[in-house]
Amino acid sequence: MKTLNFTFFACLLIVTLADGTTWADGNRKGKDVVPAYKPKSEEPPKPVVLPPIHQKTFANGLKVIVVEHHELPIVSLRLMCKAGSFFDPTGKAGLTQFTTSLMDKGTETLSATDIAQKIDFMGGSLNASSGWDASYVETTVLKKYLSSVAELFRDVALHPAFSTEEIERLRQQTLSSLETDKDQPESLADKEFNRWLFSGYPYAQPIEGTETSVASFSRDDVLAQYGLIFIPNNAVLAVVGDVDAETGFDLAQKVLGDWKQGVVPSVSVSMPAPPQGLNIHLVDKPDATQAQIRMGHLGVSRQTEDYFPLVVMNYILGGGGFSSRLMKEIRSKMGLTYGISSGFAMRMHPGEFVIETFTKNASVTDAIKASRELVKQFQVEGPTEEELKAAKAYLTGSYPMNFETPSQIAGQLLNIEIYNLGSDYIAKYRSRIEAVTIAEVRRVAEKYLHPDNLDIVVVSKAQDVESSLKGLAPVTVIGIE
Amino acid sequence: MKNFTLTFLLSLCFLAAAMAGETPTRNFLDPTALGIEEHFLANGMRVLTWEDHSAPVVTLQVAYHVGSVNERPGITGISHLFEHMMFKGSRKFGPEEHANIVQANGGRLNAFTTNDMTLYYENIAADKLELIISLEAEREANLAITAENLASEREVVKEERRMRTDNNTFGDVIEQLMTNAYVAHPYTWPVVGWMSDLDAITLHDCQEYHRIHYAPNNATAVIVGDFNTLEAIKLMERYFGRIPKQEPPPPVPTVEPAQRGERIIYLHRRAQLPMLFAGYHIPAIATADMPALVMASKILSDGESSRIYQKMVYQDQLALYAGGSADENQFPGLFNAYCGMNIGKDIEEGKKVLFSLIEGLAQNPPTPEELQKAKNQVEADFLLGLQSNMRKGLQLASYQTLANDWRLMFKEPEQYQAVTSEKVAEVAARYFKPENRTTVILIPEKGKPTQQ
Repeated sequence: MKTLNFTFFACLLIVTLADGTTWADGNRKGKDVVPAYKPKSEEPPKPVVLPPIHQKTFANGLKVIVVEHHELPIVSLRLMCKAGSFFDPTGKAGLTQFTTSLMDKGTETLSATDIAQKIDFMGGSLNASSGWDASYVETTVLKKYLSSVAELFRDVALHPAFSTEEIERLRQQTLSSLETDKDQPESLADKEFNRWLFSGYPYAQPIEGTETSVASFSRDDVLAQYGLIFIPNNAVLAVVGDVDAETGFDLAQKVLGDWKQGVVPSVSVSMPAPPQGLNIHLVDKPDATQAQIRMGHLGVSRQTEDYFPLVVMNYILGGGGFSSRLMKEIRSKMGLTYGISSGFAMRMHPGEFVIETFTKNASVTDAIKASRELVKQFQVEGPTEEELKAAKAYLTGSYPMNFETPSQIAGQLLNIEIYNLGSDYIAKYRSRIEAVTIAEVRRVAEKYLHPDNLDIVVVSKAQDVESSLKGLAPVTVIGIE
Repeated sequence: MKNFTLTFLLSLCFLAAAMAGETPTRNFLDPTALGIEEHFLANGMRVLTWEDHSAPVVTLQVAYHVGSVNERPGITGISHLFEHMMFKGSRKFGPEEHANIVQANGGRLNAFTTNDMTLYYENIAADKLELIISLEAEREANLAITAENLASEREVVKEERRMRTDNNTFGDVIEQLMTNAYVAHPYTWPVVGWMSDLDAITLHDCQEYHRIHYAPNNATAVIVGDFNTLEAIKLMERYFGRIPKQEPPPPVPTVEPAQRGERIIYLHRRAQLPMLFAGYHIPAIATADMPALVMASKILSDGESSRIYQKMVYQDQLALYAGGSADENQFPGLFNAYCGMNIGKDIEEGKKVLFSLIEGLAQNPPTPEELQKAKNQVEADFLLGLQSNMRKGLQLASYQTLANDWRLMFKEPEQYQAVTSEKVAEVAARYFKPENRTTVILIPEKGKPTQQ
């Protein structure tokens, strides 16, 4: 059955191979050819080693961080303005993203095609984008192009043209993109969940806008949004890669040193009321053979004092991949889905807590019921010692992997800036995770999970699933157009 | 545990894009200077090591030279289903314990299956290398799957198929492209498998699959990161060294016959906007025309200044997205072309423009500036591909498994630099022609249910 033509190797341990070695046959007879691993005595994890990091604040308020990373001849510039789509004006959802997308589509001296040709010729990338809490201009190039890209970067960041021609072009693109999104069950589910849970709050609207809002953007809207967000005294520039501190700061000075200050924007909106009881919104997608499911409620902001216990708690519940309770039960044991996870969207303002999964139409109620029961049981039982230990070991042990590439390092540092996490954040991360106790996990599971008050969104073929869903909770059916 | 079909192959093509050029880059093209070493265990297992001490982390990847191309009708999807079974327990560990142990030691892990390869990886703190080596050896040698595990995992994979293909317009269109572009070669069936075959695969099929394909002499292990090569090889010998070698798996004998005329498929399904995916048959990885085909894909579709983007997305505003890319597969693959239409734009117009840009490359060869731009792009791509251990490992494992030559990763950059404008025009004329083309056009219909 198998050939055992095996030559002994000098430093190989002595081996006797039995004929009866079995392969994947479910029984465990025969000699084991793989020695058991014996862990060495537990050593504390090695500290996170960061490359040299230098910081300076310019006269105009711009904070500059230079990260020296000399492994490869690559340099990135990442400008982050600490305001994003949360500042979309009422009725103008998507305006921030629309504005940033236009920034590399022409400046006072260069057309969109000029910019594309220049950056492509360097083999690099240059783009502007935004999220809920921040807006970005980023470029990555080989070091030999650093001075040419610096000019281009300055032009895109400080002198975007926002021509009406480019505005119309992007409007058509965005509308087409919104149209294709309707084919994606995942996108339909996310949008309906946010629209419903955050009704009246900025997060209710898709970050890319709606057909109505996108149709309404004027050039004045775009100029105003750019002026609101892109100011040096609310921004951080990270220069990361094969540069020394002096070169990095000189470059930053040349690129953004004369950028004029503005007024730091602020906005205050009151939170929507939390869900009461169980309610289902069923988005009817008549061709669906699988149901996309979102179930959740309001969560917390990134500034929550319970951040560390929440991270540990959620890892055990549904954030920990194969090691999470939801995955073990709903996928590995019941075979109901390919993937299930839970998570808190932690931003400047409280986002959602949501459990996401998908299953064939016939098992949609089983998946919802089982997930909900699991959460309730978790609140009653709390985590086991073993689960807590494994969660902490993962979170502390995997932490250095977030600092492997220059781009990851920059991302981590900017995250600290935006949420004001403190200069000792990286150094203290592991001890803060280690400090989490079973009692704390139980407390935050009790405080922040509300399995009896859930907004539940299902995207599926209503004809297949509506009647069984009605057995769980009141159902509102919604069409796609 | 993903299955990557065309999308993965598209990205591999970008992984594969690389270049030589002037001084700083040249230092990164010498595997010996980079410290890459090749070793063989006595049982035939290949081990590639690449020390990089810049961060205290390490990646271990085990690539088995098996993918959907090694299947047959009746058990399509077994390579990928089997990949899932590799997480379901072994002699020493219960179902999912492998993953739980890795995570409880601060590691991240996953696996993926393509047409040509199945790869398992762990990324972890450097001092846990022995642990992950022992775990990978354990499931290679001692996998212990049961009927019960197979039953639940079969359902998991069916959900994966429903998500990625049946309920996803892109997945559906790409599956139709592959299955129509190939009439004989196993690339004709999807990596995830046909639904009926997923139902039909037996425990015995899985056991046979493991016996035949999961042999040390059919695998390449790659270790990249913060470790000592000598010590790592000793660990590989200790844990993998006694796993017996097997007869080599049977070769894939079927050769796709030359296409003898244009094929066009109109796929009617519920969707908002029309789109098109097409493929021209091209040769396999590591053949003489490949560098010019990769350069053609750069000129046609890398960046917003590329020909297809400029014409279709920017100037004419026909398409929301459009492009082209060359597969670099173990067996002859496709040069892919695609476009998704903007609201109100005619797909037949999109098809005409897209094909005229691609097929027109023969008459309108790259300008010197376009060619230099493409060469600069592959140079940057190559260096960016060296930023993470994971990415470096994936490239070594892929080149070794698909081309039987990991050194190709460092040879291709120079091959790209040598490509001339005439050569690009020549390969365009050879491959980019209607009779060598298969096209799938998605015609949106309201109220059309998904095919089960």
